[in-house]
Amino acid sequence: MSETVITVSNVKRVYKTEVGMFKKTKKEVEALKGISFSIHKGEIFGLLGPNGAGKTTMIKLLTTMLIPDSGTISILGMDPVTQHMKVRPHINFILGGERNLYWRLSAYDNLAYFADLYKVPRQEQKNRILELLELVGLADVAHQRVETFSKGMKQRLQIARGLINRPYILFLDEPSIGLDPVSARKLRDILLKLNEQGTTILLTTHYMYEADELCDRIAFIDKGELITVDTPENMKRQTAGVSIIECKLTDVSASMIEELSRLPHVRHVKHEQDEIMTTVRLQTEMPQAVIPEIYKLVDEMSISDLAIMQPTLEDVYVQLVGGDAQ
Amino acid sequence: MAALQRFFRHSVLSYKALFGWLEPKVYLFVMVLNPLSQLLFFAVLVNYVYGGEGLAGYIAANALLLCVMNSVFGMMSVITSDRGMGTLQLVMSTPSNKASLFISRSLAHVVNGAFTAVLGLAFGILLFGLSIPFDAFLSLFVIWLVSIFSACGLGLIIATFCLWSPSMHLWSNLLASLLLLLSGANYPLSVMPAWLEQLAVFIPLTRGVRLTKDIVNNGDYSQMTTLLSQELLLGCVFFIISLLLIVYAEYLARVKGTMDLE
Repeated sequence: MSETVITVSNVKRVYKTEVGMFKKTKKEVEALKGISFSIHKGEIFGLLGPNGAGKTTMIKLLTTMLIPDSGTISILGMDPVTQHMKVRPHINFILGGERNLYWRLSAYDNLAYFADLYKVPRQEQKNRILELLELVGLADVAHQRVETFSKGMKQRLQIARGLINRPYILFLDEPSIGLDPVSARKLRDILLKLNEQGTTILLTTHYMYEADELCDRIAFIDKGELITVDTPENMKRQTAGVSIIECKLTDVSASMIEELSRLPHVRHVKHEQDEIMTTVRLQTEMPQAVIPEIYKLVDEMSISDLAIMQPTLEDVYVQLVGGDAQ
Repeated sequence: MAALQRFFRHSVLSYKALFGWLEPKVYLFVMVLNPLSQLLFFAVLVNYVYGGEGLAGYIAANALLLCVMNSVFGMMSVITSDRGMGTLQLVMSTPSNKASLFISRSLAHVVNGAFTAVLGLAFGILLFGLSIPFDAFLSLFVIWLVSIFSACGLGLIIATFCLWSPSMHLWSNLLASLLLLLSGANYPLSVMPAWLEQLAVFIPLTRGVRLTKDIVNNGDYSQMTTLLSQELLLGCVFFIISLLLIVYAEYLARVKGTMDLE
């Protein structure tokens, strides 16, 4: 068993807000309801869940930006609540989106700025910055202002910024959000490369294929509660014997989706609609029995494709958490 | 030595990163033409009201007041720009010393404020043909640096309010108006209601304005040591309060999760 670098034990966190100027109404949101898990050295650990599940709150707690209401957290053997100044030099975090960089500075100056904040000795700074810009493929635009960068370039610069202090643990909160497929691919390659070099990574994402490709283990959380923690392979085994019928329909109504979900032997139905057609995925243990029922229910002319597939991590997610997976 | 170099590097980079008026055209309008037109307005006004009496002192005092652009709006950008860019939480969660961090960020605004004030004085001298004794310039420069330091300290206190409140423009405009009202640059403090005169004692620039007028109009240096020491002390107190507020805001943000308040 490899060394444990993060331990989270029964952590709870409630946000309290007040609404109204004169007659104030107090509102409480239970973001985390007693979560426990641990992360091993050198792992890529995925934290998955729908919006509002508590993923970002968990990242904030682990990166010393937030204090839990109860429970304990240990990072590299230290308590991030009381020893936050000792924890900070050894970790770093990256947030998704285009912000979180100084757009008026060049890529090089952004990294130099944070190198100073992490007290990287001046003599090491130049080599490290050039090395990181090389890693993320931005060496040739090192002295260009960030405001001229594409979204993908900004996100890769964020990765370089997150590595400026050579962290033992890197936290990423939805790092590929809004990226085109090529940029997202590059980002995943960088993360795998970093992990090969020994960096422990914790990431949150909505993209199941990303989690499936990158993560050694995954935790599903929903409404502040931990649903399950396991490897993607073991999770997919939970759906052993289950098949997915994927139909592409050109004409489908909400009531028809409802009727499909009520068909015998159908466990879950998930649908996605684009401009031309709707893709419906039905989970079932008896695909041969369900397919004729689909043809009875849906006009044959509106079925442009129908296939029986193996379940993906997304189907496990749908089964465990509900129908909001992307 | 390395820490000192880091301090100055941080000062320059944060000024470039956070202060939005660095484009030459924008700088010319916001940091040169705007302050100079303000100076011109008050110079013409006091010239009309006082018939030219003590005009050099009034112009020099108004030149000092031009630092408000840096000491209020610049200092505000030290925190609000960072939050607007989504970098505040990244900066606050680094292991850097936050006191040193915010003092180094303030340094560039003290220097820039002094530059604007000197520019205003030169403009006033050229436009109104004023004569100021050459040996007064060094004393004026020291007085102005200390006064602007003190004003930046108060600016940083107000900037920290932005960690709790998203209404930054209300605070910055209120402080800018207060500095103009209570400095005594355009009228003697004694013409104000007593309570405002008392309040002016705790406001930066008031002593700097008085010393500027004393030196430029009368060559009177007798109050320099006393008033300058008071102004320096006031500035130090403002900075200590602002740094304590930042530490408290950081703690509160960890408890309430409000560091990235929009």
